Amino acid sequence: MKLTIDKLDLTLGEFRLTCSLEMPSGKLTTLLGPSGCGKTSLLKSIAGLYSPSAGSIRLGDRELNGLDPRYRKIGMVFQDYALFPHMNVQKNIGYGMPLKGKEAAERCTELLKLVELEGFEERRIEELSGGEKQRIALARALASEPDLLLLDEPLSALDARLRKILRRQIREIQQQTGITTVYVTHDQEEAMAISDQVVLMNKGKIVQADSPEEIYRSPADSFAGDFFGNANILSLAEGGRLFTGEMLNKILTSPRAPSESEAGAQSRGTTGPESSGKALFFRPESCRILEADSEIDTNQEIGGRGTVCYREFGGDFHYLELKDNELSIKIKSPGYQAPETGSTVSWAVSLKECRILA
Amino acid sequence: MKKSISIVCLFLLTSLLFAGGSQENETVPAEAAESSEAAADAAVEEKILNIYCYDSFASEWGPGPALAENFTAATGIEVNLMAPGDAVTVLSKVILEKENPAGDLLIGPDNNLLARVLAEDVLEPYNAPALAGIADELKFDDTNSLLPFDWGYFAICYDSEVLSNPPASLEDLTKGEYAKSLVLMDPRTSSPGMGFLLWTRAVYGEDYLEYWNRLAPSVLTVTESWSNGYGLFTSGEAPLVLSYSTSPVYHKMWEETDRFKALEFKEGNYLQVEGAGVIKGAAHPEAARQFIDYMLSEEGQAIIAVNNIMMPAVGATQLPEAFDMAFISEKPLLLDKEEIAAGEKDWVQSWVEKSGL
Amino acid sequence: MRTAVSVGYVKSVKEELKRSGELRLLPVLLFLFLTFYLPVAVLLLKGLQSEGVWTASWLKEIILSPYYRRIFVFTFSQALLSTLLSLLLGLPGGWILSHVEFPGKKILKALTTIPFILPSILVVLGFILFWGRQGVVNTLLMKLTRQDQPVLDVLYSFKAILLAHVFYNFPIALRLIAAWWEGLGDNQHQAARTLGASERRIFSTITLPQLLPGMISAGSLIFLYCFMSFAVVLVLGGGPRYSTLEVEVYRLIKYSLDFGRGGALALVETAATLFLTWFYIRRERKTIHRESLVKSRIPWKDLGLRTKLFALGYFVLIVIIIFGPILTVIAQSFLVQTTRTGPPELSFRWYREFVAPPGSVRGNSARLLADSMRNSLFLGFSTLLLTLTIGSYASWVLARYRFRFSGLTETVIMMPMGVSSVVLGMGYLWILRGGRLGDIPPRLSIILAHTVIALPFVMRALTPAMRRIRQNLLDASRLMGAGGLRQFISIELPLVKPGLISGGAFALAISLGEINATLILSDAGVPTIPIAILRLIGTYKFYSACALGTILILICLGAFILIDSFEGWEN
Repeated sequence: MKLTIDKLDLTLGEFRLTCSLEMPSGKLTTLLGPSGCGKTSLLKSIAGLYSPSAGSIRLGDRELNGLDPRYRKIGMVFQDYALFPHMNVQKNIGYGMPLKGKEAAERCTELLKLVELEGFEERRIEELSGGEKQRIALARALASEPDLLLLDEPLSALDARLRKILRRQIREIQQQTGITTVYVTHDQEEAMAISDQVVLMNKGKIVQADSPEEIYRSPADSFAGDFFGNANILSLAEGGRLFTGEMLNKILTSPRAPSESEAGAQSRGTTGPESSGKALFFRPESCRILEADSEIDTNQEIGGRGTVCYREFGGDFHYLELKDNELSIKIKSPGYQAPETGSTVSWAVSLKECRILA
Repeated sequence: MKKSISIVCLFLLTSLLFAGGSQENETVPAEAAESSEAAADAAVEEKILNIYCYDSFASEWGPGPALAENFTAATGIEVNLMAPGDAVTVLSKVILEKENPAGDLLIGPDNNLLARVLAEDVLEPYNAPALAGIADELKFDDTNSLLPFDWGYFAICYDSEVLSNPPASLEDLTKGEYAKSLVLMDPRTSSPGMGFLLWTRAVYGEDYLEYWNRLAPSVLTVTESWSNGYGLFTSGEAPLVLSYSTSPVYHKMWEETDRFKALEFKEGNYLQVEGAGVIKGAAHPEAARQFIDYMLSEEGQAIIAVNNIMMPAVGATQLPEAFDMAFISEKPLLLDKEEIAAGEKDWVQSWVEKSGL
Repeated sequence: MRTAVSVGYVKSVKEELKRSGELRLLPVLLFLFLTFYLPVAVLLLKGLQSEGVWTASWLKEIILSPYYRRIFVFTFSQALLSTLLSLLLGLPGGWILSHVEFPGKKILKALTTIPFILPSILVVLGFILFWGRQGVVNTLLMKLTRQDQPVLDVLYSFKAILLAHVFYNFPIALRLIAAWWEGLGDNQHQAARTLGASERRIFSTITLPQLLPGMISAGSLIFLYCFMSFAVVLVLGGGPRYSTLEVEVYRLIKYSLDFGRGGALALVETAATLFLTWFYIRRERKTIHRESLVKSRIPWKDLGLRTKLFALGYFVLIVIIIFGPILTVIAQSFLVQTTRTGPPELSFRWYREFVAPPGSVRGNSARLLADSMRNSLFLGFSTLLLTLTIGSYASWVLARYRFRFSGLTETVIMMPMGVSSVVLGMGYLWILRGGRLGDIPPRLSIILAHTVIALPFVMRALTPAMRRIRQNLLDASRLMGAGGLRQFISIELPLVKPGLISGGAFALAISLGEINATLILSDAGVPTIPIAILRLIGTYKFYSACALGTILILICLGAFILIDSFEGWEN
């Protein structure tokens, strides 16, 4: 069921959250951002645990705002799972179920199977491991067949390996059940991995809401570019010498360039003091190291020469950091060969892969 | 496991040792002999006197400090007042350490405690010369171990601003007009409480419980101590309270009011006489006897009367005018000490169960 | 190589934990033995002796007597009812304290400690002045309803006993329930809401079941106090039909000097309180291993109107029940009623009497005031220091070392909570007989006695906090080279500071309020404020006693504020 948030306004002490947003039916949407960005507040507003002062939250065609959480038909998994320690697994899962007796027990068994914890009915909560608790919390949230599933940093308390296993399990269960899901995380890799849609938030506002691929390739601003994946973000004041005004036009007219900043950037040229807030953006994997004898194709590429100051091997690639005068360039170079630390090399990036960000 | 068990055992064993040992100690005559030797040595030069008395006797408002000061000035003997609590606690302490007494003089036990004092044999008789000036009915101990130094009656006091028609007898107290007007004390925990129980026993004999049942509707509450009960009375909670015949003297003397009055009853009032005695085996018996003499002197009696708010034992003592507030009963009542000793426990228990309170 | 060394060191850290703690606690146990178990045991064992021979006849007589059985049943049932009522009243307050942020909360918490320090004689007086036939409440009601007879008949009935016990113990319920509720955190409540549960269902299925252990723990403590209640039951209940075991122990041991029966009865009473103490400690220990969770508090202004009204109504109730009698005592100390019917006048007369030159009033009040204040403060702060020293060491050993019978060991330390002051006081008389301890100055022996009485409360505040310190934190500080004493002082003590502060406040309050042991041990030489109050009341000076009571309350509040200010002292 589609979740529509319209002009929501929530104030908590000094903090204020405002946003409008659509989350498509049957999809998994992550709310991503640094701590304090308002993602959990937004989630709790959807759950009805916070009461926004204005705006509407609609699930399908039901208006949720003002409705007590217990009538919202939502399931929620809490960061610390919030399992009831004085009840066993079955009682926890059965707590929100409309069913009674045998039916409830059957449904519980079903859910335990779904989260791959068969036979855990009688376990006490304190006997469970972190990963098991997380899955029981998920089963409990799904028990009443909610219209919407909310997950509040469900994996943050677990170790890296378990996180990867469980995020896949959550994604699979979500796709299997087709339930509209909102997933809060501060881990961009996790968001990238499992989302249909990522909502990137900062300081109580939505920065960008799009598919993970789209955000990765065309971040809305420097914050988005920097937070979502690794990136080279060079301020135009510093990086301006790399290219001419003609090149800049090419970047700005390239198909995926953000349209909003177009006019301003064009009129002001490349080196004006006003442009210092803008930045040139490209991903490390878009860069290439030039062979010793080859040259930059100035029609298609920009680039320069720099000294390798840091080198790291990543399996099928090398990660390099170049010192090009005052600039620091991050490069992800495929293959098993790479220049040594201290050597001076030329680098280039295709204009098509560059963006100008606000 | 073993360690902690052994610790627990150690605890129990040592406690047993001390508990059992205390009994043994009391039968060892060597210690007693030692202490009487010490007493003989000290008799040569007794420059100090250890007095056991109740706390309010030794307090700033009690007669203790003034008596001690004057006594030291007159004789050069330093006085050490020790007061571990009320009169009963002090007596307990003296009884507990009777094989090795730390005190020379005991001040405080009244006629109701006499039987216990004599049974425990903790005091030495002293035929003080001043006894001649004391009325016979006050000499409650014919062995002269406990010498009377002040006295009063237990009496019902009333608030004259509330009651225009006070009761004139125990019988009057049971009247409907005094419903919920009387504050009494529990005989299990307070000496006026015990005094009143003995009073009813002295007047009604075997039928005392029947009287209590008639009295019950008039009783507002039974407090555990005189202090609490009298506090209820002065804060206006009840117009009648069990107290002493001398209580109005205080209000007259220090608050200049004759609002509170003590009632002389037709059946008579129960007598309370406080006594002092030389502790058996004391290190400074001569000093103790001197102090008793001083207490019974004209000066001592006046200090005691004014500061203890009690009637002086020596009849000839000059008293402030306020003491006119205290009546002298036509019929002082006193039960025989043997009778009290034999019956007290049963009377109290029957009272708790069948008084109708 | 280096790794191997540090692994070895970690191992040795853990090895040490396995060693028995009983041995390390021996100094504390020895101290308790001398100052508590010995005097009490000596007295209790008299109940098993008759003329030097061991016998169970006293015990048999007591147990078989229908008289004592009836008293036992009453003692038990009044304690149970008082406990339930205190808990019931504490529950909404616990919610408010743990969920709502409002100005004056800290002061309110400090004020609720006052019933703890007041001598029962002043409490009774306060109750009479407030609830009595001529008391504040009845005077108001009589004016409102234009009657000339008391309207409210609260005192001298079973109701009054309950009211007074609620007065004494409701603050305990309030504080413990609030602390417990804070520990539940927000999330379970929110989870239950998203699962479709109504507030009522959440309370009955989620909150209450998890509060229950805390309530049982608080309840057993309250039960213990009510079980040993004495003056309050007798005076406010109206007479001997409401007698507790403690009254009978008092009568037999203190008044009749019947140590056989008295000891046997005290033995029965102590057995019951020992069981309760043990039960309480077992309960208390279950609270220890919970993590403290985030608990957001709602500011007062954000509360809904209905909640605000409810909270206000509740505060009014607290003010009436808790502060009514106390405020009346304070008010009384400033009032002089010259005639019965006239209006009372504002006056400092009772205070002036303290500084009046000798001779103008009876006795030397000024000296008593100065002496008693000096003594009380000296004894109070010495007790505080000694109790905190012993308490922090003992709780440290309890938390860091393994015990074979940790429950028993803790019970041994907490037991002074469950012994009546009459028994302890008379026990001291026995021990002190013959001047065997005569070489110990009275001040020191009083401090020792107060320390024993206050120690359980300090332990109660410190041990859970000490246990909450995570092992890896201690391992970390050890690996950084801070071992033993330095670790104790630099890491563990600062971490349990809230426990030190609340434990210290309790120790001070207990020392300032204690009277039974003080009276016996001081031999009249060390008058404290409660003793001075007792002396004032014993010599007809009830309103001066109120004035001194007010001074005691002020000293206590001042001391609490002083202790509290140490909270932010370090930074």
